[in-house]
Amino acid sequence: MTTVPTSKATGFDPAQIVQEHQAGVWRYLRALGCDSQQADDFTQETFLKVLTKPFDDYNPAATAAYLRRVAYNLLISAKRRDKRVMLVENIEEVETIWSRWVTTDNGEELLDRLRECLEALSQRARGALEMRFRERIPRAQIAASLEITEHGAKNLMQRAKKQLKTCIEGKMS
Amino acid sequence: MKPAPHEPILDACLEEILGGQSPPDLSSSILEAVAQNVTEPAVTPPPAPVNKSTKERLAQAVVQSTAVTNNTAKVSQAAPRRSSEPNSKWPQAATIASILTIGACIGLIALKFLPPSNPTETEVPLAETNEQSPAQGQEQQHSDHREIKPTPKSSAIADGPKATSPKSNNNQPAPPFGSETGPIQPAQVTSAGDNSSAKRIEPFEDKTIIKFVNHELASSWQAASLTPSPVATDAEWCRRVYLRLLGRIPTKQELDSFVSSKPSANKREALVEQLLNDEQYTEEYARHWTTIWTNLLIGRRGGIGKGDLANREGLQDYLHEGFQQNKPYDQMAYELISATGANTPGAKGYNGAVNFMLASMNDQATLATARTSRIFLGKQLQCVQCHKHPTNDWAQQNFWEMNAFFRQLKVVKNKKSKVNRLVNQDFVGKQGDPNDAEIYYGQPDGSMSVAYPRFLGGKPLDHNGQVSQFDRRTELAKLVRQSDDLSQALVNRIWSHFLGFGFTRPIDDMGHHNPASHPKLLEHLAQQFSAHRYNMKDLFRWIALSDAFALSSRLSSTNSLDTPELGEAPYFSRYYMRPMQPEEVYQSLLVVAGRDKPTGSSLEIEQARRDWLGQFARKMETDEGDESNLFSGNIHQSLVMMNGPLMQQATSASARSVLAKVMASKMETLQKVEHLFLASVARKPTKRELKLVQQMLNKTTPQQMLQDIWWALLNSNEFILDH
Repeated sequence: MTTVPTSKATGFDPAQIVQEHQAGVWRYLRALGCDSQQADDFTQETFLKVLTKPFDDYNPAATAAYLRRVAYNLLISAKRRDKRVMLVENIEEVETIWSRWVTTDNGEELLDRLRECLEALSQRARGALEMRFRERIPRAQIAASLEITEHGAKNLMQRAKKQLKTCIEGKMS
Repeated sequence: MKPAPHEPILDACLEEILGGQSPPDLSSSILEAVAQNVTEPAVTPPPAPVNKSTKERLAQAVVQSTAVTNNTAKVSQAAPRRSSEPNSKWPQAATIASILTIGACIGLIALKFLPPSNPTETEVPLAETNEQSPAQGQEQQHSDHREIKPTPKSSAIADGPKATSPKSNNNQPAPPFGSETGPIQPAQVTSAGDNSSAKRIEPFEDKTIIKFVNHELASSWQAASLTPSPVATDAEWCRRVYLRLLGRIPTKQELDSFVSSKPSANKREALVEQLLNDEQYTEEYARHWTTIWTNLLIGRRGGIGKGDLANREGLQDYLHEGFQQNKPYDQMAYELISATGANTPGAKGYNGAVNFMLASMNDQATLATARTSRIFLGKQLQCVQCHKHPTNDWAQQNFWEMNAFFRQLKVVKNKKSKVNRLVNQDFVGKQGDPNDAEIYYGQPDGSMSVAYPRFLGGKPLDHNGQVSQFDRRTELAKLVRQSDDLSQALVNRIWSHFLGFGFTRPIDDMGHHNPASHPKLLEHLAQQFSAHRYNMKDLFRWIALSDAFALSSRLSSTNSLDTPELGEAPYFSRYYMRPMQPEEVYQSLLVVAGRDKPTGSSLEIEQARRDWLGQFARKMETDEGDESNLFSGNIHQSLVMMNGPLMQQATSASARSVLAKVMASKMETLQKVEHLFLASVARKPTKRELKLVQQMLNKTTPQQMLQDIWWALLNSNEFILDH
């Protein structure tokens, strides 16, 4: 008889599950293209879907993966019903990378690494990202502020993100 | 241009780090909504089944949550969590929930201490639910037998088809196992012949099993508010059943014979029976399934290259004989895993089954480990060779414990005769102690760990490495044979073969991390497959005669949500159109070229086939033995199809092709056109197509027109699709 090894089934505590996993589900949904309000909604939908049925919190990794799967399916279904739900184009690839980068810690480690990697960027690149994400300045204004073309600003930020990705993966390995 | 896949993730993280968009605390609103959903069945009829322990836990959680909510009322009010779409019920729900929470708490706490007044509201076993939680998946693996009855369900949910409540679906037919033969009860369990430790469920008749399959599918359609596509025409069904069972389209004669036969209730059943058991098809049946299993076991290019340890002919020979004799699947698995002997037909001690292991041999038998667990158990372990699996429970230790079963393997090469032999030899481990033959593996942190043979989730086994004391591979073969995963993995694979999608995606990555779309159906089909002594023909029959296989492939407005091609769970409410495999295209081209009964030795025939197929498969030399498939609707495929010699033979009027016979016949021109359509795509031409034919006739000769039509048909998407 086959059994799954290292069984640690503990039944489940809804409050604890929500507390432990809500940030991970929310961040995952944001990564798939939801704005913060949609992420709120789908996070709640996800837990509602899961917790209204019998469920055992087998272990954090399995539960996190299960919640992600439910969230993903909800999102896809919602997208098909409602054109206003915006998702990233290459959702499956994004999903794969997320699963590789984040397992059980709700993405906290990823954020820590990203903070470290941001420090390693050139001042110019970091400045561009800060204008874009902190101050929400349009790209044209970022370009003007850095005295480069708009296309140049786009390239600068893309290169910075590529550098961040390499840095994060380097820290993981 | 698509953004790189890491960009959306980084964007979201940067918005959090730099923009301050952090995840909110949604605990109180979630728990209130959950409590409301659970305690107010009238709000969303019919209610989802929640067992008593769940209610108790929820009651406790809601009490805690209410305390938190009261303390943080200002925060909750300042940050409403719900947007207006698509979940506009949330703001009202939060208000109502806070009022109802107290009542809910009282009610739920009462449930804890008072016996249930209604027996139907007692605890629902986890196994009766459809959506698998991680632990449910595990629980299902453990179950030997389970009563089959419809499961109450509130509504179709996003992550998979669901069964429906008998109360809410009065028109729903009762499940056939329950109505005709009674539920599968422990009393029906008998001991299995070969597997003394395994329990066996009484086999049901084919028609009962098919009824059960249809019932489960109908329930899932009803639950998802889907109306299946209409039933396929006889010609459509005939084409697909030939493709699935024999790997080729039917000849025009075969198609006519079936379509024109007298309509009767068992007309389709009779054809399935004929293809499975009539002597005239035995050879083709065995060839087709040999091809499928050879590709699965060693890939399309395995056992062909000069340096390959395996001999492809040897494996094909072994499999061919097995399929001709309808060897039970568990026996086949046992033999492939435990085989010893020479790899080449005619050599002393020849055993074709060794070629699976030989093709999977590498430095530490890691490929054999990964392939064995993936193919026979539906478990993908290859990732955990180096690190813990990110989404399931498999750890490095599991991989290397499975790997330890393969350490007695030894390949003896004979350079002169080029015959390779697979033998077992004593394994002494790194310390040189045969009584404690261990293996070591490196962990990600650089430290080393030790492993001994141990089946996935099984008990520790003998550490002895001496073959005479403990033949590790034979022990593994026994364990695989006894495992419930063996039948589940095969059922999932065969279901996918017939219907285009399996119950899980991918089909060979099963477990609680990847819940099946129809868990009950998968489980009971697997049980019956096992009860029918792993008779593959029985399994083929059940699926080929199911309602799902008989449906049209046309998508309609009534089942437009059934689109697994877009990543959703399949409902099987239509026959999923899919490209033929290259082998199926080759065999079908032989049919239309009039070369389906070729002359020449079997070696020449096989070589011609291999040459044609070799254009589409390349080894990628990865650790997993992957191959690239160039038969994927690309330019290469189109060029080979349009210009290859086989296509030229098929479209030549001077050979023995279908075209030549049609052109030489005394039929009317339009009858000839109709004949060509039926012979290639199993349908008559449409009015629009006939109009085009007429236009062509005005510009060219009938012979030229027929040649052009035939070429266009054979190069059409419709020809290379199984639809």
